Amino acid sequence: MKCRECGEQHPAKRIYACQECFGPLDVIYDYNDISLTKDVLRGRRQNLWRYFELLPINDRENMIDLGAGYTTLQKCEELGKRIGLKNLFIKNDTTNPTYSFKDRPASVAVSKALEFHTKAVGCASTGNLAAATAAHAAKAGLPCYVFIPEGIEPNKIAQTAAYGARIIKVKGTYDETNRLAYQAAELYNIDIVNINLRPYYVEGSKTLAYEVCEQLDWHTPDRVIIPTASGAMLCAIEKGFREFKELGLTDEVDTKLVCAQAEGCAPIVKSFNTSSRQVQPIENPETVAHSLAIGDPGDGIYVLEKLRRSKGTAEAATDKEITDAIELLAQTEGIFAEPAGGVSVAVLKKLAERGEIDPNEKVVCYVTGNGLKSPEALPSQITESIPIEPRIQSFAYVIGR
Amino acid sequence: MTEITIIFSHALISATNNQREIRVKGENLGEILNKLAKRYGNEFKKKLFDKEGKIKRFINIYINGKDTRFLDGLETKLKKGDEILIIPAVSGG
Ligand SMILES: Cc1ncc(COP(=O)(O)O)c(C=O)c1O
Ligand SMILES: [Zn+2]
Repeated sequence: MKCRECGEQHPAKRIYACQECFGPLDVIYDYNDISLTKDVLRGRRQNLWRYFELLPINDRENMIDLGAGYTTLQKCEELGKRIGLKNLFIKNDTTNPTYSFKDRPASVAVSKALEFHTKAVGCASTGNLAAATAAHAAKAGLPCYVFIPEGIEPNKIAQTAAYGARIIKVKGTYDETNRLAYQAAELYNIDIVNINLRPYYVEGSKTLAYEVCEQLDWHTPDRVIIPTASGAMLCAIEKGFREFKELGLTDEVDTKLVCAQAEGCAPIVKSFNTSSRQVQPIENPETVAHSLAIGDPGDGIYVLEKLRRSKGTAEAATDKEITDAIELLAQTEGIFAEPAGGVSVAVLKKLAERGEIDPNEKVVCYVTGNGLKSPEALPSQITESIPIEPRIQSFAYVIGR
Repeated sequence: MTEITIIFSHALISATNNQREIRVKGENLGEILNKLAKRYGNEFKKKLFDKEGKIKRFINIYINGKDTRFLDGLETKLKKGDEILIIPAVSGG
């Protein structure tokens, strides 16, 4: 592993902070030792473990595989037409085993926990990681402690509880919940996947980039729209594109990164717009996109660097724009997203309509969570329906004909 | 002078003679950190402060669970029994 700040290298142990400077650690690979070719990959299983050599697991025995990954990259003619884009694709990660992209990092982290002979795992979650960690822990036979802030959608909690996880609901924000989980990890020897297993955990999300390259016939897109909370996924996607180039699996990487946040919790967008190098945290996020409500994004400063380097941008969407986008996506492409997906589609729409995206650009918009996780986000006018008498006249009446 | 409890992250204790929790006297956060820097020396300073002597951007300090960036930063006044927690900023989800 290598320190993101000072560059010092460390063995791949159960550590997450640099012993020299306290900076965050990232897993590194010797790309000369990895012989992944297009032909090899074509013959592999259709999930994220097809990239085994690029994931930080040593022994295949430890793989916890619920089938996460290799989701559809959907060409979006209809949505594209509506917003004026000719080459638009949605990476539809709503179809993962627990219905969000979090199955990718969770499956890698829980596998790593087995490799470390961990006794218990857990996570600090804004909702989706909870179910993802709980499901993979169940399959691994490990007890699981899930820390969530109050206010998370009931479906996400029910789903997590069904997998048998111990749910610790905290009075406070995500950031307070995360800090508590941090202390619990140290004192009670629980491997919190997104805290002390963080370097391994984030590797799972790189597969969002690998798959898109493969699905675009071994080319990188011109632009990607990424719903962002802590920024871990955005950093992982950027690393994924770079690694595919390193291995000669794709051409030059010239992908503009777009960080999409919810207006009520947009600390990275704010810093980007004021050209700051720091990220000022937000104490009390307020947004319909609960899964993106991280006021103090751990990877925020690194996201800013990557946005600038890729000539990308950052943009926020209001609650109304988010729910409108959920409907637009569902009604044009048949994909039902949770609010985080609404955020990326809303930002995509804004940039396209403002003319900031060339109509011919190859754009990939990441839709990372399923709408069934948060049906209450939709306005009641569209979800309510009044029952009618089982008579054809009543039907005629309600459809107005 | 006011006595304060300080709790260090595991990842930091190699720089604090393996101490996880100590008590120190001081009136504000800046003063406490200076005392710690004197007590533990270079190894500690190298981990906590950047080249300009500021707290590193990937380190978070909490007082009684509240992020000091929402308080007065290094100027934050302390009272008896306050608990300071020093941990790296960790990404979430
Ligand atoms: C559905 C969904 N999309 C996106 C994100 C943002 O991920 P990150 O915290 O890595 O920026 C989350 C985070 O919880 C999420 O649940
Ligand atoms: Zn370092």
